[in-house]
Amino acid sequence: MNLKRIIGIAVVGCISLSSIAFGAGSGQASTVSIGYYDTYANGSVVPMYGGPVDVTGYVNPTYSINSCWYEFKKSSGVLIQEVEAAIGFNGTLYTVPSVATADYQLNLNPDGPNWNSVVANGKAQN
Amino acid sequence: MTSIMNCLKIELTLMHRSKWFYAVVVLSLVYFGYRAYGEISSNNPGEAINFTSYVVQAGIFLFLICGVLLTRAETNGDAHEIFLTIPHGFRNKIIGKVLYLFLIVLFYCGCSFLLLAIMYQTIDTPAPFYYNAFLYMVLYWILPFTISGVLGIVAGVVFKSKVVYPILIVMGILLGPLNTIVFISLTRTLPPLLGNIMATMNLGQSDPFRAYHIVYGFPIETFRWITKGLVLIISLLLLFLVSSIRIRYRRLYLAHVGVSLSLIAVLTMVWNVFAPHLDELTSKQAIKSDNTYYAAYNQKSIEINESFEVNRYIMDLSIKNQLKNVVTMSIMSSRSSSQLSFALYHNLVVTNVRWNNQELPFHQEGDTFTIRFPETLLPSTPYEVTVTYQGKTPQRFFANEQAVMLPGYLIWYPVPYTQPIAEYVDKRMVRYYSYPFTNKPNYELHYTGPGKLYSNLIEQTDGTWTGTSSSGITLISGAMEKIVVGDVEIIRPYALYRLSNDLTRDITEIEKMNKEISLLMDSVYKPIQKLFLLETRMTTYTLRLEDQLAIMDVNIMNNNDLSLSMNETLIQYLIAGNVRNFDWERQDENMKDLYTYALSYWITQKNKMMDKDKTYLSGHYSHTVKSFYSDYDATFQRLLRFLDENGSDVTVLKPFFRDWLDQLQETIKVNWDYIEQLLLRYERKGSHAGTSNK
Repeated sequence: MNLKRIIGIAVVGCISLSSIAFGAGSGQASTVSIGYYDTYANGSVVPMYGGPVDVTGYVNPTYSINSCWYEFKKSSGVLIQEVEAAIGFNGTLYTVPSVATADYQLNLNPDGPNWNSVVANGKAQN
Repeated sequence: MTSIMNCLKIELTLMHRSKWFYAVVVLSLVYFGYRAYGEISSNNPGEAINFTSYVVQAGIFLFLICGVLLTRAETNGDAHEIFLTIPHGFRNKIIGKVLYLFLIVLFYCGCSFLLLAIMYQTIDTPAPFYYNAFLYMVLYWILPFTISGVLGIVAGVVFKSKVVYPILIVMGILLGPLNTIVFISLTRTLPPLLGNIMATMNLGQSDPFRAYHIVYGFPIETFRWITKGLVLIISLLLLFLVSSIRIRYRRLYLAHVGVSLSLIAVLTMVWNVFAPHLDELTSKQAIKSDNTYYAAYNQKSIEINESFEVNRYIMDLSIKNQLKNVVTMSIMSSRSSSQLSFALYHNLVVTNVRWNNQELPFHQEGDTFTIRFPETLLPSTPYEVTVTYQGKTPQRFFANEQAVMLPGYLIWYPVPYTQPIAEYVDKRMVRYYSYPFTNKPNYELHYTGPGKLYSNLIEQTDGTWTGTSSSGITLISGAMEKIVVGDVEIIRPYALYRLSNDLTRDITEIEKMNKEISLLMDSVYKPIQKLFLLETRMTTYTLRLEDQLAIMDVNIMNNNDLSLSMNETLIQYLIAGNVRNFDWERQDENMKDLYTYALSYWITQKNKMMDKDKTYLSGHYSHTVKSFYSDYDATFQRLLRFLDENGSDVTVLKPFFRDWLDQLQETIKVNWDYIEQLLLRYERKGSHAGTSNK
């Protein structure tokens, strides 16, 4: 194997390892926001490596006429925790004490099947 | 019979020739295996099958189409006309096709179950999962697929043109979990009667988004079996009628519509008889029903009554589709009174109150009911009153034919009304309050209900449950098991089979930490003799330390070796469990967090358990402060510094936390200004202590 290839593999390996380590150490956050005419909003899918997750959010009282469910899920779709935030809520909704290593996301779901009328945002911070 | 078997053989031969059949089976098995393996490898064997609650919709479509294609096999050629000329030929052909369809369903579901069982075997999944997954598959796969296939054949017989395909789409939506969702999306409304019809026709789970509940298990209650069994019988009846009409009265298609509507109407009535939870079918509805109720509930209009206590309860409790209880209470008043008020969860409706063999008038409003006595009750004199009530508990704390989860802090039997039993708080949740018994009532419970029961009471040889407790009665039945670790009984969902890799060590450490916290708080040490691990899906500190009993909230994520090993979260749970009272509960959640995080910070640093940058206080709470209390960031930083500087000085920090807690256990709300004043007071003390030490 020539030297260039070895160096290339080493660089890629180091970057991969350091990015994993950075992800594990710094804490990832899935963020999401939803507009008035949206019936659902998927947050960014982020890897989480154990430890607690704080779910915070804000349901805009001026533009919302419906409550909003904050659904913390595995990216495979399994629901971990869900809480309904009323219009005007602002703060921490819940803390998931510990998550197993996997990909997660925070989704926003206006109350009622396929309903909308919510302007809100949220964050699940690992 | 021979012609039916011949028809079946022909269908099997045709199937064997079709590469598409094998391709569909293999692909769907690969998909199922891939998804199921994902859950199983995450130690979640329940979700490995529960996730299919939504995928079933695809199966319903597939078997509807399969049914139609089966009827088309002959009509596409000329064989159909030949069958009509053979005596009983058409009927036998249809019977053969139904048998063939059933064999395909069994074959596919059998392969899937085998695949699942092999995967379960690889991770030593507890035995009950095999049996329950089998039942789940019969209820939510085999029956729905067979029904869909039969209805597909019906559609194929009735409609000869391509119009059958759009009809199949409508049928598929109506028969699956999509029905309610699609209807509401289109109309934004769902009248109750139509909702009942939709629920009846839905062959999948009531709530396709329901995550596997580790206490309740799979939703396989008897009424679901009865309903699906009836739907299957009606589908077969419909097929029989349709195939008969098809031969004899070819032009009377309208009769089909009439028959179908009549059958659906009968089915709806049947559903209404058997379905116990029609109005609270989904997880979201379960949470929302209490949110909505308590958000609108005005507690202030009810007078608090602290003049009596209950010394003895004798209960005749029956749990089937709902809870029914006949409870005889021995009461004693501290002052003369002719009426007493009790607290009781509002959906439990009092039907009768008896005293000295006579019925008494009562008034139930919300979470209270008041009994009016015909004479004045004398102080310090025991009286007996019997109350009969029945109804539904919150679905979060279910009590039905499949499972029971009634923790002691839920007021599911009458207690003296001294405080609200629950409140809607922070625009996001309902908080349930324990009743603070000042005495230790005697309990005698006669129980009729589902499965093996676990309780803080002791089961006697005659089946009666007895005991004394100042923290109420906890009753649990469902997908649970009991394990004994030293002197501690752990009642846990069997889904948490990997709860710990060394339970003896973990339980010893929990007891040790519990003792340390109670010493730091100068509170009464409550040793844990029974530990209930329950999935209540509450959002806040979920460890209740009661009278020699602990109730801890868990979920499927706890199925890992480290769940009970000592960590900061467990310390916070133990702190909250030790300090909890009614006024503490009603404090601002962030202020409670600040206290528990600060105290756990001190304990972890004192015991050198973890790096301080990774603690909740310096990690997570600093985000909260920056996001929502940026004006108090300096105060927060002062608190951190104060804790760091005095971490080794118990004489400063112990009274500091004690004073802080005293305030949190009072009705006055603690805020950041109070923290500033407290810090100011103790920073001086700390510096004096530091000076004197020098």
